[in-house]
Amino acid sequence: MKGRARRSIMAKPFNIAHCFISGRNRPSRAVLWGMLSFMLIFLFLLALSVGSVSIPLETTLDILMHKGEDLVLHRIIWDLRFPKIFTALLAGAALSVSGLQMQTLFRNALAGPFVLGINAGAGLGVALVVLGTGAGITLMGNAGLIAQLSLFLASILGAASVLIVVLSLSQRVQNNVTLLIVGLIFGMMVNSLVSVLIYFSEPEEIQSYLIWTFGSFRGVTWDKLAVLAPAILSGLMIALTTVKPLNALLLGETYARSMGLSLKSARRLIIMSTAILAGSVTAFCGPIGFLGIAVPHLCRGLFRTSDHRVLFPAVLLIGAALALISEIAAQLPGTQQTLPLNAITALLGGPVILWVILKRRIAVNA
Amino acid sequence: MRKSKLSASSLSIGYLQPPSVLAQDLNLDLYGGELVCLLGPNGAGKSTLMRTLCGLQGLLQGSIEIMGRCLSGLSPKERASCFAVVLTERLQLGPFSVRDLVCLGRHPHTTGFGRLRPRDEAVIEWAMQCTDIAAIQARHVNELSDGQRQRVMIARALAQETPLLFLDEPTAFLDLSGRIEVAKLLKHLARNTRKAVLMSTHDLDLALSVADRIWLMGGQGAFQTGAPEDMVLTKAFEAVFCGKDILFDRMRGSFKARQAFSGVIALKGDGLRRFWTAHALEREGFKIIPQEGRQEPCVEVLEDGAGWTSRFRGRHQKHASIYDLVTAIRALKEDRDLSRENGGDI
Repeated sequence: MKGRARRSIMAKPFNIAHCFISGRNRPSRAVLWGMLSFMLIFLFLLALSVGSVSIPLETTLDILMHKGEDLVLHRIIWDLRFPKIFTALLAGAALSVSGLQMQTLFRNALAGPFVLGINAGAGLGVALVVLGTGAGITLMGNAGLIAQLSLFLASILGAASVLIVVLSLSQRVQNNVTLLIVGLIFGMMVNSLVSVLIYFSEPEEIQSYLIWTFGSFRGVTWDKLAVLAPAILSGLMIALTTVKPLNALLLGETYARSMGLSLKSARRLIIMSTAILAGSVTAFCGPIGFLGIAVPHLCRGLFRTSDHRVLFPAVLLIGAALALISEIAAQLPGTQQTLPLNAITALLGGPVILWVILKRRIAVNA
Repeated sequence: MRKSKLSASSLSIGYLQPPSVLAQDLNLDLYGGELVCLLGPNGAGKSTLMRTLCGLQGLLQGSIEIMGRCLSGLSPKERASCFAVVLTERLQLGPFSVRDLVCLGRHPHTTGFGRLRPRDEAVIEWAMQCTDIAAIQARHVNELSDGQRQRVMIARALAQETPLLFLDEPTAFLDLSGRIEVAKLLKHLARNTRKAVLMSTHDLDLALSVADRIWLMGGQGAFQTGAPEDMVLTKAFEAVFCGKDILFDRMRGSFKARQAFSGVIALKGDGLRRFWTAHALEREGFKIIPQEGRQEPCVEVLEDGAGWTSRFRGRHQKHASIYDLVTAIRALKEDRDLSRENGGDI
């Protein structure tokens, strides 16, 4: 009864999402995986050919096969677009996996790295290095390897310390909404520290920090990718070991413990991987919002399950795809202009989050 | 001598911070094949006892042995293969199918990512068949009725394959038929799978009709155990639950609100109709006395179909139903009270 009522409310004409989400004529999982993989390959090629200089697909393929003659195009593809695309793929996957972990751990649909202030923590770490040292480390420029490493570590430490504080508070706070507020307030407090740092900083330093907060996949070169990629891959490897504990946590902590889960070690693993994933992405690409919250919901809707054995790869693929779409859109294809990445992710992710909230209301009312 | 699956000796339960002891010196046994109902008022420590027995909470004193091994010596994983629990809290899940939820019960038995082997699949099928949910296994947990959802949670616990099964108020959100179904299912499981089943409940009727044994926790650490009938005869229920407003009817095995009688009424008649007429009059505040001669007030239960007659405050009336009878008497009584009040005013 309840399910049918909800379905009929969702079943509005011309609602494309409806056929995926509401039951009838739902594509099977195999078809979904196939479609997703195809979409990712398509987006990959699209991202290679669009940008401030449009490169036809045939030329792109020729350059990929090392048949191209044009050295400039060759450089654009290999040294500019490839690192950017890989960064987008990795960052999208990392943020989405981290969001999935947070949503299950806190049992809150609106949890995500951004909401709980992890990005604010990473931001403080970065601000301390960029603004505090006064050494004029420019993030998007060609800083030395040591500078990159220190940024990376500061960001991860900032992210981890915020997460640990929020998590220790979560043990005392029963109510998830309260915890969400705690995370938000904590994030604001951390941000106010950043504004204190900004107040005492030089204009050039401030500008480089501000640009960092807009988020971008473009600052990452092959050199930086050599640090970022292993970090994210190791974070994902740790996240992979949390799949089974996360499934147990779906039923709540007491059930999880009754099934033999050691909460402490599970939490430690989840915090560690989320801190590495969200922290490293934030260090190199800036605080990229919304992806981490929206993608897990999108996957639950598409695959109609909360089983992390399905969600983990789904979130990986869709997160990577959405990050790539955001990057392509931010390029404003065919023009010399680019938009801040965060504006695009918010425009894409915001409606998904709204949809989750509104769908819940409908479910309750039905 | 039967061998117990769980035995606790001189057990004290409660909390360290802030220090409070809910019950002490408990000696408990759980046997395979038995359904034990844990009864007691709110705050007596039922949930604390359950949590302590399955190691989710530390004990203050004493010892607990599971199948001959000390509970504190078991790793979390070993504990998970001894106990399965069904909790009171209602789940808040995203999209999740019934089958997936039952699969979670295999958590302690799987490794790595939780891949299921053929044996795990077989246990899951068995658990769903036992609880009669195989037909709804593809449906989503959020779409189920409370009764179905409770069956799913029991199936998950069964899939954990444990000798002990603990349920915290499994009938709390269910309607009457749902409660009876769950209780029958638990009894059936205890008998057929030789599990020791412990459930806490506030439902005395249910406990009296299905439990093999009652654990009764009173306030202030009082603890008694025995067959439900033993507990009635030893007045244990009365001692724990009765107070100034509640009375225990030992013949019927149920509680009722204690009535302050505001008058007596004679009742004539017999059988089931007399029984329920008396019930209604008592509810209205009358003490029932047998009819002798022609005293007033009185009520007579006539033949089936002929209704009731009453003589009350000098009025002789006929009534078609118990509702008519009771409202007529109440009206007369209130008239009298009202006129007396008005007279007082003037």
